[in-house]
Amino acid sequence: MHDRAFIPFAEYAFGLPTTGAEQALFAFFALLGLLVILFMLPDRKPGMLVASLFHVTGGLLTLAANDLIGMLLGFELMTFSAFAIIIQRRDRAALGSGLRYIVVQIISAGLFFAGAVWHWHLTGSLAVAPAAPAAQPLFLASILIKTAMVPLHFWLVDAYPQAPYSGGVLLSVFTTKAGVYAAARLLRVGWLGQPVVAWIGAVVAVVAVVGALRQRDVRRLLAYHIVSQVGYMMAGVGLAGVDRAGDIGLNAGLFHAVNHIVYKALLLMVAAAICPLFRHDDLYRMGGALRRMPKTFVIAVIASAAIVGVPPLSGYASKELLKQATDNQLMIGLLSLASVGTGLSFIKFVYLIFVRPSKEPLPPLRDPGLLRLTPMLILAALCLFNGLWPALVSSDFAAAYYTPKAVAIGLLPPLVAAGIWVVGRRQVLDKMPAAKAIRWPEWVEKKMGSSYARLRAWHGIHPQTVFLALFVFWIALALGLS
Amino acid sequence: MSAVLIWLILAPIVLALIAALIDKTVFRWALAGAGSLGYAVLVSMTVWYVWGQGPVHATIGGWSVPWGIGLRVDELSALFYLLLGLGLAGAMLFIGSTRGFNRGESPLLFLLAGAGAGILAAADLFNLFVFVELAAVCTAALIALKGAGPEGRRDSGAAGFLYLVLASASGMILLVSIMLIYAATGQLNMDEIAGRIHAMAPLPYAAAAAGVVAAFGVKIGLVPLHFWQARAYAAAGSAQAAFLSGVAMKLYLYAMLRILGHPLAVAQQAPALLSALLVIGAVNVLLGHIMALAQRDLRRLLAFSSVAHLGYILMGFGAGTRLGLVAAILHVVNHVMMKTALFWSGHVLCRQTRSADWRRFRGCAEAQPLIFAAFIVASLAIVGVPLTGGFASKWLVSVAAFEQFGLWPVLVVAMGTIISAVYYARIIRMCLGRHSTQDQERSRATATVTAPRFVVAARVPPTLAAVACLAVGMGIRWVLPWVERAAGALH
Repeated sequence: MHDRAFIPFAEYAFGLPTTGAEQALFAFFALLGLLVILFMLPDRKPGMLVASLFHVTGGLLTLAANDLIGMLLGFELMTFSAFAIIIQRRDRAALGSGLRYIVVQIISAGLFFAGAVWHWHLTGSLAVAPAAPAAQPLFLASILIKTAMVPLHFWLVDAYPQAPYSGGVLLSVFTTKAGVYAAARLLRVGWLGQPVVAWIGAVVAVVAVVGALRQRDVRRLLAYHIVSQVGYMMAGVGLAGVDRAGDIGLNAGLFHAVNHIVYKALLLMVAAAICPLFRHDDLYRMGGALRRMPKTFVIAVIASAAIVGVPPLSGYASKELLKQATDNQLMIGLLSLASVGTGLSFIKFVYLIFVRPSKEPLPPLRDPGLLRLTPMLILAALCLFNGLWPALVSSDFAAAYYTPKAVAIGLLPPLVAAGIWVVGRRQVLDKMPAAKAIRWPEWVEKKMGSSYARLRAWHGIHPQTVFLALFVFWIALALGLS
Repeated sequence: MSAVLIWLILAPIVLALIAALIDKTVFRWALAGAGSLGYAVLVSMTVWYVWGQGPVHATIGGWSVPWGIGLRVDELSALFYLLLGLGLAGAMLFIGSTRGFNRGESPLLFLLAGAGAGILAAADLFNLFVFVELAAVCTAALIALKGAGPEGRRDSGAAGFLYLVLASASGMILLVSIMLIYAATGQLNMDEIAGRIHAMAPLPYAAAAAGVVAAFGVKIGLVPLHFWQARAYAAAGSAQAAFLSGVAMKLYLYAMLRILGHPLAVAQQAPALLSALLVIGAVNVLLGHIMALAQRDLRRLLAFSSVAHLGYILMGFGAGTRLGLVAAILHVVNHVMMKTALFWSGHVLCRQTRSADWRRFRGCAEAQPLIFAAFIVASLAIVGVPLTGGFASKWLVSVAAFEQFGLWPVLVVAMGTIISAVYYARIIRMCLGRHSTQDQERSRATATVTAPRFVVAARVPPTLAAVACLAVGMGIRWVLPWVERAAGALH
């Protein structure tokens, strides 16, 4: 069809993204990369620093790519550097999680590759643009893995808690958000007149919150909230599949990504400041940190309020824009429900770590040093800034964020969550069986063992059989050809 | 220039004879190193000349072409000459500097290279057949050789014998095919045959074409005929398997592509064969990768991986377009580098842990950081990560196959990528693991020999090959025109 194929790395280019929200995401990727690497410095792990630099580069390349191959290059850079971060501890659990992580990401990359080939064949172009309709399913599958949509979320909640604390902060910023960006640029799925991706996102936002409520481990809880928040973003960018206001949806999804990387990095930094002092990750065995770590407490409250969407903070602004992008009441209802669950989960988070008196003797707790506190304070300030002047960050739409009605509706989920907490605190705290991790490669290998045995037996055949095979092969080919 | 063509074939054979006479280790080393490097220089100069001045022809003994023995080096064979010359030098330096040569090893490698040079230069089918047979004998001897050495394994004799039997069968089929062609056209010279092939009756033509595929299929590891490979490579040891899988296999592949593409003109005469090759290639990819996933011996794993990568090459060739041929040749070039880098670095890792079982590679990353880095780079390339050569050729293969056959070949390529990512990641993960203190105590209690020490030279060939994998990918815009010219010689 085309006389020459696109030659990878010979004909590609990188450039800054064009729309306001995409540029904001690019700027925040760069800023967060810088701050998290500053936060990492006291760890004194040179290997992890190098991997982190590669990871940040990968994230920025994905956003700056002008063609699909450049995007894939960014994804792969992120994948392999994330592997290096995850396995830092070098023990069995970390290595296993790293392996699962890399396999899942390569599956996503393989689907992306096939989609790119198809897209190239149909359009003759590899520019980053909404993919050809026939190639959409492949890109959809790839991006659903990349953004960890339930039930494909297991790699994320499995791997991120295995990384070193500061490495986990970095991981939470890039991979899934790059996936959301890819969805915003490539996916336009509108099967049966429905914004399929948006529905998936909204449902996942709720389901993952339920998963988060069941966790004991600090970082697994936060990982489930990553999945849930990415659900919000997909709900936004998925609207572009059908909605007449699809552009607002794209803007809202990317704006939410910008806000999310700020407060989620902040929350993980709080975890990184606290867990090493307690020497474990179990929420239920912590407590009483309020008096010894007042600054961390304030930061944790700001970040929690931001992720829940309490009005003057960043989470409120992007959720408000998201509500303006669609008039489907069911979708808004699902997202509000997820907000209630998020509120509950973070009341629990703050209560268990800071407020509740500890049952065990307290370890020596103190606020982190200046080198760690500075990035945290900057991020906390950004939570406030993005909430107060949202139009400066995502500048494409002049939306009214702070009408009295909107503020009232925005306040509703946190208030409902607080109400549930007051009424049923015991219920929320005590009904928490730890979820079981899925270890699928072992499962696959066990299932495939018997077929392997058969294949292996076939490879032990005798030369006589081979002669027969050779001649049959020859004759069959000859007969087939003539 | 025509005298040089003859020396391209004769020089390794003469070197082989001299090397066979030398008994002292130091001299054997010196001859292998100097001889192979000199040969690489000779080859590079020839390639330079061919790329500048066009194809070179020569006849031996003063008889002109329809009767005399013709030799010809065009852009395609020049490219393969380059791979052969560099591969031979690398193999000699690597074997010499890691464990020293077994008796008979360097003469056999030289002889194999001479036979390979003959395959690449032969302009008529009968010469081609003679050199293929010579190469087969050398290969069988190389596989069986380890049984005689101090670290010999009992299986190597049997594996070598199995290979010899199969190679004889395949030689017989090749001879029959050549006879069929000769009976129909009255010619053995490839150019002459090409002019008359359209007059050949369908049935003999089909039998001849299928015979060529079957005969070379054994040597390159086409799927129902591939099962000897893993056993033979494991028996030969990874240092030699690097040459057998990385370089020698490509010579047979060259012969097959050359006969099918030029004198037999399958693209015009029997396009169905190309489709069949694409399907067989896809089967190769899937079966090779799936079997590699089940292997514990690193050499067997890499052998099955090369079965899979032959599949990618055939998928490109089977697409039947110019683009497909370019993709196939580019993948040949990449595979030479990736597979030699993997076998060589794997060889060092195996010797470090005194085991070919990758599940015992724990602690290798700390013991051999440079070699481990080379292994990682080569596995990234062979998995097909962007920026490496492996990605470029997989991309071109996928695009070429898609244009002819739709989505399924692309899905096969993607599937193969995923499976290979699994097994390479598993090995890398194992190397990164630390020894538990229990392990260390046990090994301290049982170890009678200390870990082998490697001279610096042993680290050079794997590192260079790994760097080359990256360089081809990043400099693809300079590599591709050469590959396109090579493809132009056939298409």
